[in-house]
Amino acid sequence: MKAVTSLYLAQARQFLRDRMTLLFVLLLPVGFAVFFGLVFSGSSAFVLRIGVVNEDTGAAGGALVAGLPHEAYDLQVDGRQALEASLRQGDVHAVMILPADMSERLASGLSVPVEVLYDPANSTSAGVGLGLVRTLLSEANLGLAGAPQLLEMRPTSLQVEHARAIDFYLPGMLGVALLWLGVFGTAQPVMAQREGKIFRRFQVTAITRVTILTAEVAWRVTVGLLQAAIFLLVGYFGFKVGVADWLPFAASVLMGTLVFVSLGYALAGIGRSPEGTMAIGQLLNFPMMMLSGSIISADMLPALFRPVVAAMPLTYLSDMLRQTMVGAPAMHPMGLDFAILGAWLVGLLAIAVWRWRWE
Amino acid sequence: MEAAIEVSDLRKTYGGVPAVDGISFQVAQGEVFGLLGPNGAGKTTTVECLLGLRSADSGRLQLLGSERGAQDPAVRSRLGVQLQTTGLLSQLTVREQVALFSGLFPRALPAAQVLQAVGLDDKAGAATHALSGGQKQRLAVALALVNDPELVFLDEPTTGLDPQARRGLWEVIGDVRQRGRSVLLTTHYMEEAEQLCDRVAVIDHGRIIEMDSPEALIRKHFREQAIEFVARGSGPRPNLESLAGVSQVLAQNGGTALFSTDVPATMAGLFDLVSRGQLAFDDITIRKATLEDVFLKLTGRRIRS
Repeated sequence: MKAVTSLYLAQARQFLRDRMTLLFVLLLPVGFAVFFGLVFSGSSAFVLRIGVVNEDTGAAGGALVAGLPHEAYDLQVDGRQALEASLRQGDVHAVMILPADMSERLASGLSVPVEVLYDPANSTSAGVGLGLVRTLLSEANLGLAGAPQLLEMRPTSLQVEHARAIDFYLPGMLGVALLWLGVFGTAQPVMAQREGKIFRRFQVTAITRVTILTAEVAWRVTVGLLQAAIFLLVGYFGFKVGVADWLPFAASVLMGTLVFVSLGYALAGIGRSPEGTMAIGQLLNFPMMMLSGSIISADMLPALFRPVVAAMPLTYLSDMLRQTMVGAPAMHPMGLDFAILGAWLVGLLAIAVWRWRWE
Repeated sequence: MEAAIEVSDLRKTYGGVPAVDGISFQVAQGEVFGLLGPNGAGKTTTVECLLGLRSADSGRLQLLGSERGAQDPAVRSRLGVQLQTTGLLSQLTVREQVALFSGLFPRALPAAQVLQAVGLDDKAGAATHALSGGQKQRLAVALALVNDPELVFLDEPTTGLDPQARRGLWEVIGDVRQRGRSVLLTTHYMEEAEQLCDRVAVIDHGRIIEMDSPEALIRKHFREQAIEFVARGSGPRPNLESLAGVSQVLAQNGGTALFSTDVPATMAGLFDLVSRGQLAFDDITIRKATLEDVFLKLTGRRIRS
């Protein structure tokens, strides 16, 4: 224990005194979140507006519209042309079109294609709007599958009354911060310590390799928790963003930290030089940041990118963080997010162990 | 009394090229033993095999009576190690480095005592990255002493240091010796080996070519004294081997060294050549033979060439 504590403290000092690492890992992500939040939010009194065009010739469309909850957003029911014009002007953020044959298809047991229009130029609100529409539709689906009255819906508080840019960016950038902990806060210093023969020097002391790695990983998990704490402090005191659900939030942060720290160790194992490792790191970092829904809503990406989005661990971490921090509509059930991150953790850990080199 | 180190027929090859080619030696407890040889001779590979940082292809190793050697953490807790390349966390202060390494051993000396021993007590609060080369080397040696080890490995501890810093470290190593600790020292500085080591193994191309105390090695190879001079001009040289008392003529340090069993007779012969205009020189010195001369005689080249 004495050895783990000594190594842990030494790692902490080395990390906290290195200004570049501090900047990249601890300060830049929250800075970006605040910057995006301020730049892309028109005002803090943003209200999400969803348009519904009911072209259904039967009764189902009307019943669905009547059953939609109204507490969380503004609902505008109108004709297609009027709502398309409103969408272009930014007055509504997404438009759901219930097709003419909706009742007929439902009666025949067929699925109903619901067209959803959005404006990609307005990324934040469109992203939140699309998420909300997805939730509304899945609620309707649940009702259709289980309830005797096919279109009866339970009113659900979606907690997006004050959907603001910062609500979108803060959890997203926390996910990116944990990714950067892996690339800049793990792979890079691990490579530097290997190149500097520091691990080698520790090996000729009385401790075992397990002790070295325990202290290493423990410190990096601490950094992950520190990052989360900084985001919470900035979010709470700067923007009144709290945590909707503490336990799953803590579990998400811990899981995200472990996944990306493992990614860092795997990268350090794969790379043959610090430059090579950082090149591979950037190759993963940039697409993951842009395509995971952390900064740009995944709903707005072309269908071509969907498999990439679905493959990346940050997609699921950002989804979990948004759900647990601001109660955002779920892209995936929390259990699925957790399971996929768990699978990534096992895979990355296996690569990290397999490719690990002391020198 | 068991030996501190026992090495028997140690072999290690890299890509088919032997780096260590059947080395055997013993280091007694309390002895300072030197591995002396040029860069690439196999000294560091030998040390790394002993420390378990490299696996030997074959051979038997024993440290402090243990067959497992450095593989055993209990044995490692009794070792002090200064590696050729010192791996240090650059942002830590000198005091923090000592505290870190103290934490990696079951028992440790007080940090102040260790820093005082290497003369770094006034630098305790300095960041490691701000230390000079000599101070970093002294810190590396300090870290090898934090656990008051029974056996100390010092791999080229003074390489790259200026003469003053080198002599400072010699004093530190001398103190370790005074306290009865065993030391395995690698060096390519002959003077260092002569000053510090009870015995040296002269190693070249992965093999030990001679092993004894520095004095015994010099005595064995040179009963003579060396007469050194740098000749003037580029004309044909007279036959120096035929001078009275001369046993060997070696080219050394850009000059000539005559090894003579009868210095007055050889000097008389030299001055005779000068008076007849067959030889001219500015400086002439008479000195005892050194380990450098031994190495030159054994290998045909200077250790740092």
